[in-house]
Amino acid sequence: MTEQSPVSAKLSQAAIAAKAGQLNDYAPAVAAAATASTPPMSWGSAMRR
Amino acid sequence: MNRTLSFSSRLLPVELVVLQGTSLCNLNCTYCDLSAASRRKNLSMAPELLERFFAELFRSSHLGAEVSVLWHSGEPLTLPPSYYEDAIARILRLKTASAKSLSVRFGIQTNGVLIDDEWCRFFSRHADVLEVGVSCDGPEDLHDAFRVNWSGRPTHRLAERGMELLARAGIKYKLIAVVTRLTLQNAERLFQFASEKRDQVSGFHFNILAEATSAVPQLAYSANDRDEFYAFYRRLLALSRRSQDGHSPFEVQNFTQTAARILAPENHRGPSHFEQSSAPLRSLNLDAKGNVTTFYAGLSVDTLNGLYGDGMGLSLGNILDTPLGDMFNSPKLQRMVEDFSRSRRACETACDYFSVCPGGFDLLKRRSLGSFDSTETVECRIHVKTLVDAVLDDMADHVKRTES
Repeated sequence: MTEQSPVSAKLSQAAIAAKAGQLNDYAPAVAAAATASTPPMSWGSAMRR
Repeated sequence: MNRTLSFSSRLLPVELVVLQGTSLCNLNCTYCDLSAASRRKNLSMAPELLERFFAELFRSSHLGAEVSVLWHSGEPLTLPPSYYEDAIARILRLKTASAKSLSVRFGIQTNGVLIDDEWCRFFSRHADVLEVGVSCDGPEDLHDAFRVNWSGRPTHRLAERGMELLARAGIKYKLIAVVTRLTLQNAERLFQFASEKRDQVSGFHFNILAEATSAVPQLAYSANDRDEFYAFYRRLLALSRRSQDGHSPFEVQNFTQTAARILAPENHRGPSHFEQSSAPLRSLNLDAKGNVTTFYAGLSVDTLNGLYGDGMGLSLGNILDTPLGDMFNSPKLQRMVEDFSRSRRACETACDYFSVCPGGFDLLKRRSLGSFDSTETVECRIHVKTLVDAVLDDMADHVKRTES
């Protein structure tokens, strides 16, 4: 078995917590859930170069 | 079907059109991406140019259900409201003629300084299709350190006055703040400034400066600044998830978007976040002279102008002499798409943050590391990895708190 990188491990933990409902009242996750699954491109997020 | 048609049909639909109605700006912000020469030039986009672009766009097959049209890259309010009355009417007329079912929304990104009652009446008249964005970097000292006029005078008071006029007229606006080194030490003050306007803003988003390199020490940053940025993100996260004075938590959109990427289903199908951000044609820019670029909103023809041997950077051509359809099927666009695909593959192979990366750093990689095949830039480290680390740690702490 390959060892997970620190961020991969944390991403897995976040996915488990979300599945268990432990992030249901976490404000950024609540706001994210209220946003459409594929939001239209917004100026703030598209301005990269 | 020939190879060219097959290439064109693989492209994602156009979602965002950034129009440089004028390159003129009434301010001379220290960190502006546009050249001082262009910002001093009183050059506006001719109505005929706008007509030609939208007539061709609305007849093309590269449209989804909705297109956002945003005026930026110069101060839009240096043109009169009548210019936008005419432009909106022309665009909607063309849409009705060729793409009836398409939804078109408009946006104006302004520094707020020139907002007056006449502008408020204009914004109110178009409130059903138009969103206003105001750029203000928070409290006076953080803002005035860099957002000055051509005489070097501060502009915070005038921007605040503009936002007050909007609020008085009941017009909600999106607030965008640029984060500099000064802001890093002042997360509380930035948050307080934005959250106090909660009843008058439709959203709040901060922008870390797009490039780490700057001759101005307070605008430059490096990978060594990771801890300082991490602390800034964590402090803002802590402030933004708390309810205050009976209000619900005040949303900082950067955290919402990061949480959305982190919590996206593992079995997510379709293009990655990274791929979507730099998908060709998804955002198109039309400058005041008619040059069309794509990949990133606000990209100018001067960026990496020697990259494809024509001195035109990532420009697909000028709408006055090249039809949009030819641009979309051009060998140059195909070469660019191949470069961006190589860039994505390099990141996908090498980076543990790929699945949660918003993308958008391809040109910085090319510019600072010399190749699309390269991977981590300073900007990736600060904008993406540090932010993802901060949100993941904040999520973990939230889980611990609810368990205890």
